[in-house]
Amino acid sequence: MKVSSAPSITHLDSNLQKEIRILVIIPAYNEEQSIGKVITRVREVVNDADIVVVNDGSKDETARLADIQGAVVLNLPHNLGIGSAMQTGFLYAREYSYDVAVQVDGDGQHDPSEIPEIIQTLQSSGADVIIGSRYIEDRGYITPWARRMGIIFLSGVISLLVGKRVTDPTSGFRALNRRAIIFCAADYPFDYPEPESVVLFQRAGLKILEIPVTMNPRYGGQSSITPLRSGYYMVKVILAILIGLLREHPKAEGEVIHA
Amino acid sequence: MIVMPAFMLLSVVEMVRRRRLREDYSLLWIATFSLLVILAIFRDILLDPLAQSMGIAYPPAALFVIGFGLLLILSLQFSTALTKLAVQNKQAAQHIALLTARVRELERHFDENNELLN
Repeated sequence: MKVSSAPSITHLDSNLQKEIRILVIIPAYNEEQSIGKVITRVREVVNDADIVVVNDGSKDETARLADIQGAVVLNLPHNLGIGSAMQTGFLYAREYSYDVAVQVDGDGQHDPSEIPEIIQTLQSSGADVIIGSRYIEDRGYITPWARRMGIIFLSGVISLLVGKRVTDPTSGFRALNRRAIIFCAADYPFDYPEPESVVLFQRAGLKILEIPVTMNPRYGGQSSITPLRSGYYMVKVILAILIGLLREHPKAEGEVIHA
Repeated sequence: MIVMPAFMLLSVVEMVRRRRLREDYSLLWIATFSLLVILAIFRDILLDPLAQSMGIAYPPAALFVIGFGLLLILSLQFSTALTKLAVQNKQAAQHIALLTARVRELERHFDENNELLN
């Protein structure tokens, strides 16, 4: 038996103009304090989007709360890490033929009210990936000093590699078109995927565009990045990016869909 | 010097026989212990000249050096095997998540249709 489209989606009349189908992917690991709020907010601002929560082996009530809020919940049987969780969301988006995937963190750091602008920019700019950046404009987001230095260093390295200024490569507030979705579903970095994926996108010929966003402090839970892990994070990301450069150029396939 | 690797070699063969160890993973182990046994048996014509060429005065110490090198190769092989398993594990977990969601959705539709019929 073949299910050709997500059952939660109302089938569109084929005579009507093709509507853009949007999937909001929320990766979540032990985010019971914030997940409900995030889903509610997302639904308020983009009511025509479907919401999928990728529950990355949470030990708390994340999955149940997301289900109550009416999101499709993809329950990973054990914790795979943010990259593989996001890839699961992209696999879902690919399987059910979504045109746009928006990545929003489950911890409440990303303000869902900026999603419409990100999607609109994706459609109007001709870029394949839109990244919400905290650092294009100063909107009062306070980053701890050490982490800010790390991000500046990382963005320097990445900007050099992609030949274009990237201010916030660690941002996980993004929108991807179908071409980028298919690319990410096929292969996605597993551990700290955001900076690495920026380089992969560029090498695959996918166009990246950053737009300024405001980010909130977290609603609850704990950041996965502790000071001790920051060092490991930097080394791992740089190593992964540099070794990644030795690989064959990844290819982005599929038709270009720009509305 | 002979007894230890010989015993280990037999243990590996026995583990494969009992299917406690897969044949492909046992190959490197068998090669390692066989080499150590052979070097120990033919000490005069193999180990001694080899130790001398490595600048090792006490030939049995050369066995340790060689054993250590082989162990490094073996643990690297483990890392690659683990990496492969991790990738397969990830893919299996992702499939489970997607399939479970699909089954739930189908069940929901099935229930709704049944309610309509009743």
